[in-house]
Amino acid sequence: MADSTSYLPPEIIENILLRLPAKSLLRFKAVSKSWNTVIADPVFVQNHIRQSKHSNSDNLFLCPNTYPIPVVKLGDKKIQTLQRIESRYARWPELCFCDGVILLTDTTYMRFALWNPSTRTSKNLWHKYSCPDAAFGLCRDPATDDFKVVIADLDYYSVYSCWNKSWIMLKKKYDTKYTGLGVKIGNNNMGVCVDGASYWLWSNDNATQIELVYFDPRDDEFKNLHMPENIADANQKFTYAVELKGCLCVYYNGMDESRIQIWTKEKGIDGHSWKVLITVENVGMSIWAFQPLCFVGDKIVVWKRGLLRRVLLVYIPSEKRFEEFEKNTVGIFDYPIPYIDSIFFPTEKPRPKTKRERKFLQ
Amino acid sequence: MAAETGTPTTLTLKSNDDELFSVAESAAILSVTIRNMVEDGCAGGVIPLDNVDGKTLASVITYMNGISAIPADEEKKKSYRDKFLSDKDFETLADMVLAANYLNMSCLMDAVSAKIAQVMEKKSVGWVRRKFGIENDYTPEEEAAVKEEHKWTFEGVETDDDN
Repeated sequence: MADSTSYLPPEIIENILLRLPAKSLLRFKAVSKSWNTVIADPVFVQNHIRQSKHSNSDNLFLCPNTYPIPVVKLGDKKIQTLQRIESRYARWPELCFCDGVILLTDTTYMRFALWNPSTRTSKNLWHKYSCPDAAFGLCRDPATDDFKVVIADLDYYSVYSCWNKSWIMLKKKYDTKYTGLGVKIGNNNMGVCVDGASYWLWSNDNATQIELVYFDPRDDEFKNLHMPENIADANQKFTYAVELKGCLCVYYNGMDESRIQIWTKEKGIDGHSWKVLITVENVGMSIWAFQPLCFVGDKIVVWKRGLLRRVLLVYIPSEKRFEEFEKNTVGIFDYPIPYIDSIFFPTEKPRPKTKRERKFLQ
Repeated sequence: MAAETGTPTTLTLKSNDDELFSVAESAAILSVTIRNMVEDGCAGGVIPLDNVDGKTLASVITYMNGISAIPADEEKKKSYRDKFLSDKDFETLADMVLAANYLNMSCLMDAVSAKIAQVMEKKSVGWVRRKFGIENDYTPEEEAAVKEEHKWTFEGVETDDDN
């Protein structure tokens, strides 16, 4: 082309912008008013999250034990450090994460913060009382787009609505025979946020019974979810919940400790059917050491959480065996939490009747 | 149409600057636009592509031939696409994304869009305005305010190299 400028139609530009990282998008808000409008549009923000998850195949993790916090991409036996993030919340434990937003506390369990590491946006929250034994969740209500923080304590649960900028506290109605909300098996106080709901596996005091519970942000209620039948039958104490491939998964190892079966739930809060995702053979570790992180192709990256030694492994299904990651690449990898590059941050309820006119380029 | 003869069918495509190109139908139907024409039986003579110039069409056809020669292996296709786009400059990529859009080739469209995003990721606001032909409609005060709000995102920006 003789002319060095190109006039691309708005839908093509939007398609390109969706593939940019949050940092570039925030900078390019300064390009023009119309670009600013597009990048700030809530629909664009959600599409960007989807694209971001898709193009990174859920393989990005933060390792908040190192500072500045590294963002790493897990590959086939290799780790790549993409960037390092500065945080005003260094040493605040992470409690939960959803759509790129992390819930943290300063360890008083009264003062909390929501933080998006990719935009460095944050917001502080105060809870009425200290709740160190609670379970924590985040949800983006798929019906309204309201973003909620849920703190499930022993007798009450609190829900913070970002739209209303206020807490509500409700008497717990979930099945009272499971009193052991404070019983933490693995990371089971940390909700798994999928499809707009938060899921936990809770057990009673003796860990003889477990139950899959979720918080439904559409009616602010806790509900029970049926587990895959053979897990329920086996009444497994050591069952864990995790998000893999964008779906809620649970895994357990039944009678035979050398096998771990991972089940996946169908998409959507109201989808309740389960199927086996994969059976991992020749496990060679306790299930509490086994933490599946993500898939690389058909292989699963597993973090083995030993007390003294923690290693990253990749499980090769076709050969039914594990291999270790290349040692020189794993230096900073410790206590990973999933990371999504996202420009999402919960805001107040938008004023009614905001007619979004997309004035893009002339 | 192809099904009726044993030999591979060749289509003739015409760019908007009247260049003619021969391409195997099996490769050309990666374009949904062309596939629809073939299915409707309007591909008998020359297919005019009024929105694509000769230079871009030549490049798109190279891509069609290259990618259709790779068997169903998503990894290999991806590495072909990466290599194919690796040496293209912004203007060429912009022409290609327009062509891919017009020809309705979603895989090329996605790959080129991702490549453009990769090219612009560390660029300055001024570079983006020039390359996309966008007029700055902020007042100086407004622009300063928007930049101030996300000051840290201006760290590590590459020096403009387009002029």
